[in-house]
Amino acid sequence: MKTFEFKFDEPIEFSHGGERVEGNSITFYAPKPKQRKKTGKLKQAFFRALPTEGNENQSSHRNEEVEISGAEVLFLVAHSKETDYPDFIETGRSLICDQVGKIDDTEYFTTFIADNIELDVLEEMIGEYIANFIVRSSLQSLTKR
Amino acid sequence: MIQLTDATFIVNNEAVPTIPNSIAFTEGLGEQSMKAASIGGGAVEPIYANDLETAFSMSKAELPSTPELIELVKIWKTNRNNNVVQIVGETPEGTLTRTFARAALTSDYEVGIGTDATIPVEFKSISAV
Repeated sequence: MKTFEFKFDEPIEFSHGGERVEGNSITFYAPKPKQRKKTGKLKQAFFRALPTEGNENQSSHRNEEVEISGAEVLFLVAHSKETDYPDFIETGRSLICDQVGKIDDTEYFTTFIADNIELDVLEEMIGEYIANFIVRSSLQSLTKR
Repeated sequence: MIQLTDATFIVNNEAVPTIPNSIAFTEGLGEQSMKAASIGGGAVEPIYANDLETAFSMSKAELPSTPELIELVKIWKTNRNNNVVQIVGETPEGTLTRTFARAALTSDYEVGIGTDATIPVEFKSISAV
Protein backbone atom coordinates (compact mmCIF):
# COMPACT_ATOMS: atom_id res chain seq x y z
CA MET A 1 0.00 0.00 0.00
CA LYS A 2 1.37 3.42 -0.96
CA THR A 3 2.09 5.71 1.97
CA PHE A 4 4.02 8.85 2.72
CA GLU A 5 5.30 10.24 5.97
CA PHE A 6 4.79 13.81 7.14
CA LYS A 7 7.27 14.80 9.83
CA PHE A 8 6.60 17.60 12.32
CA ASP A 9 9.26 20.15 13.22
CA GLU A 10 7.72 20.26 16.70
CA PRO A 11 5.94 17.24 18.24
CA ILE A 12 2.15 17.32 18.48
CA GLU A 13 0.09 16.09 21.45
CA PHE A 14 -2.46 13.32 21.12
CA SER A 15 -4.14 10.65 23.26
CA HIS A 16 -2.84 7.11 23.16
CA GLY A 17 -3.20 4.21 25.58
CA GLY A 18 -4.95 6.33 28.19
CA GLU A 19 -2.28 9.04 28.27
CA ARG A 20 -1.46 12.28 26.49
CA VAL A 21 1.69 11.64 24.47
CA GLU A 22 3.74 13.40 21.80
CA GLY A 23 3.87 12.37 18.16
CA ASN A 24 6.57 13.21 15.63
CA SER A 25 5.09 12.15 12.31
CA ILE A 26 1.96 11.02 10.49
CA THR A 27 1.88 8.16 8.02
CA PHE A 28 -0.69 8.93 5.36
CA TYR A 29 -2.52 6.32 3.29
CA ALA A 30 -4.24 6.71 -0.08
CA PRO A 31 -7.93 7.72 0.00
CA LYS A 32 -10.58 5.02 -0.14
CA PRO A 33 -13.48 4.83 -2.63
CA LYS A 34 -15.91 6.06 0.05
CA GLN A 35 -13.97 9.36 0.01
CA ARG A 36 -14.52 9.87 -3.74
CA LYS A 37 -16.59 13.03 -3.33
CA LYS A 38 -13.91 14.85 -1.34
CA THR A 39 -11.07 13.66 -3.60
CA GLY A 40 -13.13 14.59 -6.67
CA LYS A 41 -13.68 18.13 -5.36
CA LEU A 42 -9.98 18.57 -4.65
CA LYS A 43 -8.90 17.15 -8.00
CA GLN A 44 -11.35 19.35 -9.88
CA ALA A 45 -10.22 22.45 -8.00
CA PHE A 46 -6.58 21.69 -8.77
CA PHE A 47 -7.14 21.12 -12.49
CA ARG A 48 -9.25 24.26 -12.75
CA ALA A 49 -6.37 26.14 -11.17
CA LEU A 50 -3.78 24.82 -13.65
CA PRO A 51 -2.68 27.52 -16.10
CA THR A 52 -4.06 26.91 -19.61
CA GLU A 53 -1.58 29.14 -21.49
CA GLY A 54 1.42 27.38 -22.99
CA ASN A 55 -0.40 24.11 -23.61
CA GLU A 56 1.24 23.93 -27.04
CA ASN A 57 4.54 23.15 -25.29
CA GLN A 58 3.11 20.21 -23.37
CA SER A 59 4.04 17.73 -26.10
CA SER A 60 7.73 18.28 -25.32
CA HIS A 61 7.13 17.09 -21.74
CA ARG A 62 5.46 13.82 -22.70
CA ASN A 63 6.66 10.74 -20.87
CA GLU A 64 8.61 12.86 -18.40
CA GLU A 65 8.20 12.16 -14.68
CA VAL A 66 5.91 14.79 -13.18
CA GLU A 67 6.87 16.06 -9.76
CA ILE A 68 4.68 18.52 -7.92
CA SER A 69 5.05 19.55 -4.31
CA GLY A 70 2.36 20.34 -1.76
CA ALA A 71 3.46 23.98 -1.68
CA GLU A 72 3.03 24.20 -5.47
CA VAL A 73 -0.47 22.73 -5.25
CA LEU A 74 -1.48 25.29 -2.62
CA PHE A 75 0.13 28.13 -4.57
CA LEU A 76 -1.72 27.26 -7.77
CA VAL A 77 -5.12 26.93 -6.09
CA ALA A 78 -4.69 30.03 -3.91
CA HIS A 79 -3.79 32.16 -6.95
CA SER A 80 -6.55 30.88 -9.21
CA LYS A 81 -9.72 32.84 -9.90
CA GLU A 82 -11.44 29.59 -10.84
CA THR A 83 -11.25 28.02 -7.39
CA ASP A 84 -12.38 28.76 -3.85
CA TYR A 85 -9.26 28.40 -1.68
CA PRO A 86 -11.02 28.34 1.75
CA ASP A 87 -13.37 25.63 0.46
CA PHE A 88 -10.36 23.71 -0.92
CA ILE A 89 -8.61 23.83 2.48
CA GLU A 90 -11.81 22.83 4.30
CA THR A 91 -12.33 19.82 2.03
CA GLY A 92 -8.66 18.90 2.36
CA ARG A 93 -8.85 19.07 6.15
CA SER A 94 -11.96 16.92 6.16
CA LEU A 95 -10.23 14.32 3.95
CA ILE A 96 -6.95 14.04 5.88
CA CYS A 97 -8.92 13.68 9.13
CA ASP A 98 -11.08 10.86 7.70
CA GLN A 99 -9.01 7.85 8.84
CA VAL A 100 -6.28 8.23 6.21
CA GLY A 101 -3.44 9.23 8.55
CA LYS A 102 -1.97 7.64 11.67
CA ILE A 103 0.24 9.49 14.15
CA ASP A 104 3.41 7.49 14.80
CA ASP A 105 1.50 4.51 13.36
CA THR A 106 -0.79 4.39 16.40
CA GLU A 107 -3.85 6.67 16.43
CA TYR A 108 -5.80 8.24 13.58
CA PHE A 109 -5.24 11.92 12.87
CA THR A 110 -8.62 13.52 13.71
CA THR A 111 -10.29 16.90 13.30
CA PHE A 112 -9.78 17.62 17.00
CA ILE A 113 -6.02 17.14 16.63
CA ALA A 114 -6.00 19.09 13.36
CA ASP A 115 -7.71 22.04 15.04
CA ASN A 116 -5.00 22.16 17.68
CA ILE A 117 -1.95 22.42 15.45
CA GLU A 118 -0.62 25.51 13.69
CA LEU A 119 -2.52 26.53 10.57
CA ASP A 120 0.66 26.70 8.45
CA VAL A 121 1.48 23.10 9.37
CA LEU A 122 -2.07 21.93 8.62
CA GLU A 123 -2.06 23.63 5.20
CA GLU A 124 1.35 22.12 4.40
CA MET A 125 0.00 18.70 5.33
CA ILE A 126 -3.10 19.15 3.14
CA GLY A 127 -0.92 20.28 0.21
CA GLU A 128 1.40 17.29 0.53
CA TYR A 129 -1.49 14.84 0.80
CA ILE A 130 -3.14 16.22 -2.33
CA ALA A 131 0.17 16.26 -4.23
CA ASN A 132 0.99 12.68 -3.24
CA PHE A 133 -2.35 10.95 -3.56
CA ILE A 134 -4.68 13.02 -5.69
CA VAL A 135 -3.00 15.02 -8.44
CA ARG A 136 0.38 13.37 -9.11
CA SER A 137 -0.98 10.21 -10.68
CA SER A 138 -3.46 12.20 -12.78
CA LEU A 139 -0.71 14.50 -14.03
CA GLN A 140 1.51 11.56 -14.87
CA SER A 141 -1.19 9.82 -16.86
CA LEU A 142 -1.87 13.08 -18.74
CA THR A 143 1.76 13.54 -19.74
CA LYS A 144 1.96 9.96 -21.03
CA ARG A 145 -0.76 10.66 -23.61
CA MET B 1 -20.07 37.32 32.98
CA ILE B 2 -21.22 34.60 30.61
CA GLN B 3 -22.27 31.14 31.76
CA LEU B 4 -20.56 28.19 30.04
CA THR B 5 -23.45 26.32 28.43
CA ASP B 6 -21.74 24.24 25.78
CA ALA B 7 -18.58 22.14 25.57
CA THR B 8 -16.96 19.56 23.35
CA PHE B 9 -16.63 16.05 24.75
CA ILE B 10 -13.57 14.38 23.24
CA VAL B 11 -12.71 10.73 23.77
CA ASN B 12 -9.46 9.30 22.37
CA ASN B 13 -8.93 12.26 20.00
CA GLU B 14 -12.49 12.16 18.60
CA ALA B 15 -15.09 14.83 19.31
CA VAL B 16 -18.28 12.99 20.27
CA PRO B 17 -21.83 14.31 19.72
CA THR B 18 -23.61 14.77 23.04
CA ILE B 19 -27.08 15.73 24.27
CA PRO B 20 -27.13 19.45 25.20
CA ASN B 21 -26.68 20.18 28.93
CA SER B 22 -25.52 16.63 29.67
CA ILE B 23 -21.77 17.14 30.18
CA ALA B 24 -20.44 17.26 33.74
CA PHE B 25 -17.24 16.45 35.58
CA THR B 26 -15.53 16.53 38.92
CA GLU B 27 -12.02 17.89 39.38
CA GLY B 28 -10.88 14.81 41.27
CA LEU B 29 -9.67 16.75 44.27
CA GLY B 30 -11.36 14.21 46.52
CA GLU B 31 -13.15 14.63 49.83
CA GLN B 32 -11.66 16.08 52.95
CA SER B 33 -12.74 15.71 56.52
CA MET B 34 -12.29 17.71 59.67
CA LYS B 35 -12.28 16.11 63.10
CA ALA B 36 -11.80 17.59 66.50
CA ALA B 37 -8.96 16.38 68.70
CA SER B 38 -9.23 17.18 72.37
CA ILE B 39 -6.26 19.00 73.85
CA GLY B 40 -7.74 19.18 77.35
CA GLY B 41 -9.44 21.95 79.23
CA GLY B 42 -12.39 21.79 76.88
CA ALA B 43 -10.34 23.00 73.91
CA VAL B 44 -10.12 21.16 70.59
CA GLU B 45 -7.63 21.11 67.78
CA PRO B 46 -9.03 20.67 64.26
CA ILE B 47 -7.53 17.69 62.42
CA TYR B 48 -7.78 17.97 58.66
CA ALA B 49 -7.58 14.81 56.57
CA ASN B 50 -7.50 14.25 52.85
CA ASP B 51 -9.38 11.11 51.78
CA LEU B 52 -7.21 9.86 48.92
CA GLU B 53 -9.67 7.06 48.19
CA THR B 54 -12.00 9.66 46.69
CA ALA B 55 -9.33 11.55 44.68
CA PHE B 56 -10.56 10.43 41.28
CA SER B 57 -12.24 12.45 38.58
CA MET B 58 -15.59 11.72 37.02
CA SER B 59 -16.54 12.91 33.55
CA LYS B 60 -19.93 12.18 32.07
CA ALA B 61 -22.21 12.94 29.16
CA GLU B 62 -25.27 11.58 27.42
CA LEU B 63 -24.94 10.51 23.81
CA PRO B 64 -27.63 10.02 21.19
CA SER B 65 -28.49 6.34 20.67
CA THR B 66 -27.12 5.82 17.18
CA PRO B 67 -25.63 2.50 15.99
CA GLU B 68 -22.25 4.20 15.42
CA LEU B 69 -22.12 5.64 18.95
CA ILE B 70 -23.34 2.40 20.51
CA GLU B 71 -20.36 0.64 18.89
CA LEU B 72 -17.99 3.44 19.92
CA VAL B 73 -19.05 3.25 23.58
CA LYS B 74 -18.50 -0.51 23.50
CA ILE B 75 -14.93 0.10 22.31
CA TRP B 76 -14.35 2.57 25.18
CA LYS B 77 -15.63 -0.03 27.63
CA THR B 78 -13.34 -2.76 26.27
CA ASN B 79 -10.39 -0.32 26.36
CA ARG B 80 -10.57 -0.67 30.17
CA ASN B 81 -8.69 2.35 31.58
CA ASN B 82 -6.82 3.14 28.37
CA ASN B 83 -9.06 6.07 27.40
CA VAL B 84 -8.44 9.79 27.54
CA VAL B 85 -11.41 12.14 27.92
CA GLN B 86 -11.12 15.87 27.25
CA ILE B 87 -13.73 18.54 27.84
CA VAL B 88 -13.23 21.82 26.03
CA GLY B 89 -15.62 24.74 26.28
CA GLU B 90 -15.36 28.43 25.63
CA THR B 91 -17.21 31.68 26.00
CA PRO B 92 -16.12 35.08 24.69
CA GLU B 93 -14.57 35.58 28.12
CA GLY B 94 -12.49 32.45 28.48
CA THR B 95 -11.80 28.80 27.78
CA LEU B 96 -12.22 25.67 29.89
CA THR B 97 -9.98 22.69 29.14
CA ARG B 98 -9.81 19.56 31.27
CA THR B 99 -8.03 16.30 30.46
CA PHE B 100 -8.89 13.04 32.18
CA ALA B 101 -6.23 10.40 31.60
CA ARG B 102 -6.50 6.68 32.37
CA ALA B 103 -10.26 6.90 32.02
CA ALA B 104 -12.53 3.85 32.31
CA LEU B 105 -16.25 3.24 31.97
CA THR B 106 -16.66 1.41 35.24
CA SER B 107 -20.44 1.03 35.36
CA ASP B 108 -22.49 -1.28 33.17
CA TYR B 109 -23.88 1.54 31.06
CA GLU B 110 -27.39 1.43 29.67
CA VAL B 111 -28.22 1.88 25.99
CA GLY B 112 -31.63 3.43 25.49
CA ILE B 113 -33.68 2.68 22.39
CA GLY B 114 -36.40 5.14 21.41
CA THR B 115 -37.10 8.59 20.05
CA ASP B 116 -35.57 10.47 22.96
CA ALA B 117 -33.37 7.66 24.22
CA THR B 118 -29.74 8.27 25.11
CA ILE B 119 -26.61 6.47 26.26
CA PRO B 120 -25.43 7.99 29.55
CA VAL B 121 -21.68 7.37 29.95
CA GLU B 122 -19.66 8.07 33.07
CA PHE B 123 -15.88 7.75 33.11
CA LYS B 124 -13.70 7.47 36.19
CA SER B 125 -10.11 8.60 35.77
CA ILE B 126 -7.12 10.08 37.53
CA SER B 127 -7.60 13.69 38.63
CA ALA B 128 -8.26 16.18 35.87
CA VAL B 129 -5.51 18.44 34.63
